Amino acid sequence: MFHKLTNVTLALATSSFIVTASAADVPIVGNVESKCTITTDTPGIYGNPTPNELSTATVDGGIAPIVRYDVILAEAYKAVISYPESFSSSPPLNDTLTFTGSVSVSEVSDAQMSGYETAKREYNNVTEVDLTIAGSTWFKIDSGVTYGFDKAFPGGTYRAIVSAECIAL
Amino acid sequence: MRYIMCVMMMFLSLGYANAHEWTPTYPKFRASYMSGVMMTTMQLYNSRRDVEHYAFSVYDKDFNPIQFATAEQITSVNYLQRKTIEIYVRNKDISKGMYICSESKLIRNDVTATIVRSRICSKVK
Repeated sequence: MFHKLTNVTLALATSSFIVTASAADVPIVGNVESKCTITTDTPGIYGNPTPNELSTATVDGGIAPIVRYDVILAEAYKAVISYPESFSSSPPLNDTLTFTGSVSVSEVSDAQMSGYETAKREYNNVTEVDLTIAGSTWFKIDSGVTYGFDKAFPGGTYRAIVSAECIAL
Repeated sequence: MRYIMCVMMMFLSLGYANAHEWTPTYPKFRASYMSGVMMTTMQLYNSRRDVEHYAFSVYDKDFNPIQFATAEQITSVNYLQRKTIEIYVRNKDISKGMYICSESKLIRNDVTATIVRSRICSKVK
C-alpha cells in the first residue's frame, strides 16, 4: 500500500514538473514611443534631356528621390526638406549653374494627411510640413539644373544631396 | 484603426532597410558625475545601408549651436546597429526648447545612388 502511494506521488510530481516546464514563459518586450524615422524609399537619378540640362523629372529620363517620414505620435514633429542648390561632386565646371526644384507630398497613409500639401511652408529651397497626424508621409523631391547659357555639361558623374530633417515640435 | 496603423508602421519600419532613427523625442537631463554638468542618453538606430557615420549637435531654441561633450562627435554606426549616445551639457546652457540632433554623414566620393542627408532633432521640453 505504501509502495503504491509512493509511486502515485512520484507520478504526480513528475507530471507537475512536466506541466511547469512546458509552461515556461519566454518574454518579448517592446516599447511604443514617440519617434520619427526618415527612410529613403527611392534614390534619385538625374536624366539629361538636353546637353545643358539635368533633371529628375520622369519625362526627362530622371527619377525623383522619394523620402518617407514615419511618425508614431501626432503633432510631435515637423518635416524640413531642402532640394539641392549645388553639386556635392561633379566634373570641373567653369560657368554658372541654375538650380531649381520643388518638394511635394506624393503619398500618405491617412486620408487626413491630404491637407499637408496645401499647409506646407516654402522659403528659398526649403519646404516645411507639420506632421500633425500619426502615420507615414512620402515626399517627392524634384530637382533640375541648367548650365551656363545653353552650354553643354561636360561628361562625368554629377551628384547632389537632398536634405531631409525631422525636428521635434 | 490608428492602433493598427501604428503597429503596421512598427513592422514596416523594421522591414525597411534605409532608415535613420533617433530617440527619445523629448529627452530629459539628469545629473552626471561632474558637478555643473548634466547628461542625457540618446539612442541611434541605423538601417541605412549607404550611411556608416553620424554626427551629433546641440542647439538652443533658435538653433544657435551650444557647446556639449560626447564620446565622439562623429561616430561610426554599422548597418542595423543600435548605439547609445551620452550627451553632456553644462547646467547653465540647458534651457527649454533646446535641440539634440543626429545627422547622417555621406562620404563625398562614395555616394552611389542615394543622395539624401537625414537629420533628426529631439527637443528638451
